[in-house]
Amino acid sequence: MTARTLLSPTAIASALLLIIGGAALFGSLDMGIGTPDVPDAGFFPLLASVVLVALSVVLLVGEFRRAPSGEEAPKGETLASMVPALSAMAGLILYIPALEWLGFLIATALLVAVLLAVFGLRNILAYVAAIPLIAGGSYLLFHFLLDLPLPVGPLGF
Amino acid sequence: MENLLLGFEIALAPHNLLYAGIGAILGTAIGVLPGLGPPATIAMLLPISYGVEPVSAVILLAGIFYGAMYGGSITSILLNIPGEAGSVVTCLDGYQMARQGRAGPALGMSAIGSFIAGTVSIVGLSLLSPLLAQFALRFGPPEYFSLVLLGLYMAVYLSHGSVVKGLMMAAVGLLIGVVGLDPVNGVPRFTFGELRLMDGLDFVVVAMGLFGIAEVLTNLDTPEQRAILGAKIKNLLPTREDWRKSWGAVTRGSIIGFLVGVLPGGGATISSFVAYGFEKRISKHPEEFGKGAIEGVASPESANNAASTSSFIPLLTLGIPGNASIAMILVALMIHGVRPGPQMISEHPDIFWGVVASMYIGNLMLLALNLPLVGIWVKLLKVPYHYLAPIIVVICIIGAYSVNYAVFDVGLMVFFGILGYFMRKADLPPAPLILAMILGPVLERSLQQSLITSGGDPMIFVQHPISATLLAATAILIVLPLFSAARRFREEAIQEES
Repeated sequence: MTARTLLSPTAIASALLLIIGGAALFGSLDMGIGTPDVPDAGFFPLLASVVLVALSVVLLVGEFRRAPSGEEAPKGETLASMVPALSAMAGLILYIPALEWLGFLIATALLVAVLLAVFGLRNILAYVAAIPLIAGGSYLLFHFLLDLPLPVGPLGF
Repeated sequence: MENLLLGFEIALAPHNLLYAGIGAILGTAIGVLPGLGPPATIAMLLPISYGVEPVSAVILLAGIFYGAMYGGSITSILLNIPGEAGSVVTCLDGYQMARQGRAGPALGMSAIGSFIAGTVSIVGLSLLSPLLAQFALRFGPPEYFSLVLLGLYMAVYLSHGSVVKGLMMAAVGLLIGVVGLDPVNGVPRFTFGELRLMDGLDFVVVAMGLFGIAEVLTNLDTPEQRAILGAKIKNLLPTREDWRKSWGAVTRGSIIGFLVGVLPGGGATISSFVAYGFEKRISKHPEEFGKGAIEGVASPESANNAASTSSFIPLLTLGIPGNASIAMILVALMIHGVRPGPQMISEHPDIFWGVVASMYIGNLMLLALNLPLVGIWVKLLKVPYHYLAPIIVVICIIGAYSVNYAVFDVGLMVFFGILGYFMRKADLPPAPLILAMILGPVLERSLQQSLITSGGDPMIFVQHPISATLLAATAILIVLPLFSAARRFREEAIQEES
């Protein structure tokens, strides 16, 4: 078993799902499973979590057995190749509080600015024009034309 | 016949014609654009469907679904990049035809073949659905439990990738589906004390995250590479020789597509592979496949369109969606209080026959619009993704927010978007999760009802003949790969020994 096998996306995912399945299993027992003729709230989630735990173990064991048998573990992603996606994720996560504090228009303009940058728009003129077009355009369309009450910030939009 | 006339009356109403047209054009556009699939688009547009009558909502969403199949072939032929998974095989011969200066006939045959296949499939749907619905009236809770189980397993089994991973995602989907108050006992399940989770997780929010946001994030990992063939597209209509070679492929593709599409999980992608493989096997010139054979375009394109239409059969007659896009159409119906199933044809004939008739019209619209508009679709291909991505994200945000007018839902969508991104990294398919999330409540309800009726005896599932047959089919599907794996293992061991 190599460190690379342990860090393969499949191994990490199956370990995480094993933990989630385990937590769901205990959570289901906590809710009460009842009896087969009178199933309680935890009965069905218990079945699903047992399936999840069992399959996670199967996948994890399969992944560990791959290395000793000489098969190469699937290639892991390098962090560098994920930087643009991780930047976009950071932008999206920060967007949630920004949406409540700053309102739709400003928060969305900031998010669009981040997304245009991570997607590699390098033409400054196009960059500057695209931000108000996308954020402002969607605000006009949905807030005014379609009458959708979008969140407003301290400035009233 | 009378019902079909009623359907046409509904589908030909000006507003429904408009929805069918918008759906078909929008579907073609998203099919043309790589990196944006029908599930993501349907998820984004679900909130819009709240405000329109159910039949119009389904006409719009169905148009997107089958329109995308038309559009997907354009990128396959001109860019060698499949716009949709169902058009992957079309790349093989379509792109080669384009390189040989025959992009026009490839696009033309793809559109005409799709139209013929779509029409064949709609006729099949009109004839088969009432029979299947009649049969399904015999279903009680045990039959439904076994049917959903089979449907879920087939969706996993027939999708590409690891069955174990697909099943894991289905289990996660079942768990996500139970979040909220237990409908029978009123006990909160996995809500972590959060009041906003008491009503459960909204399907639209989860789907927009897993498909819309996750797709945008995933596209950031692969630099955009689009090399559109520069030559002008001419002679869209296939020649007599092209027709001679293709008519059989279109016919066989239509039949294969229809049959595969009816199976839960058997959608456009599988049908196109099966049809292409079959055509190559029976061809007198199999060596020409992959080098620009027009049958290699006609067959998969016919199959994927036929399958898209016939995949509505399990939804409309049994209430079981076979793939993620169809699952979202189910949600659109449920939002309007319509539960698809055996009763749908009798209880909501307007919706059923209206949607069927709109498919006839939509297919005709696609044929009439797509060939003349091919220049516009090629121009659309030139729109850089860095402009599209923020627009997709903003539409998803507005869509998630509009479900309950809550920023909390936007946060949930972002969470599922990030989750979906990492799921794709680990090759964990999102479609089984979505299907299980939708079918979970049906599965749980039918399991509980069956067990309560039988006094807790699980034998009820094998004592009912239909249920037993469905369970046996599931068991065979589970066991078969084990046997083939065992045989492969044995063969490898024998090889090593010798």
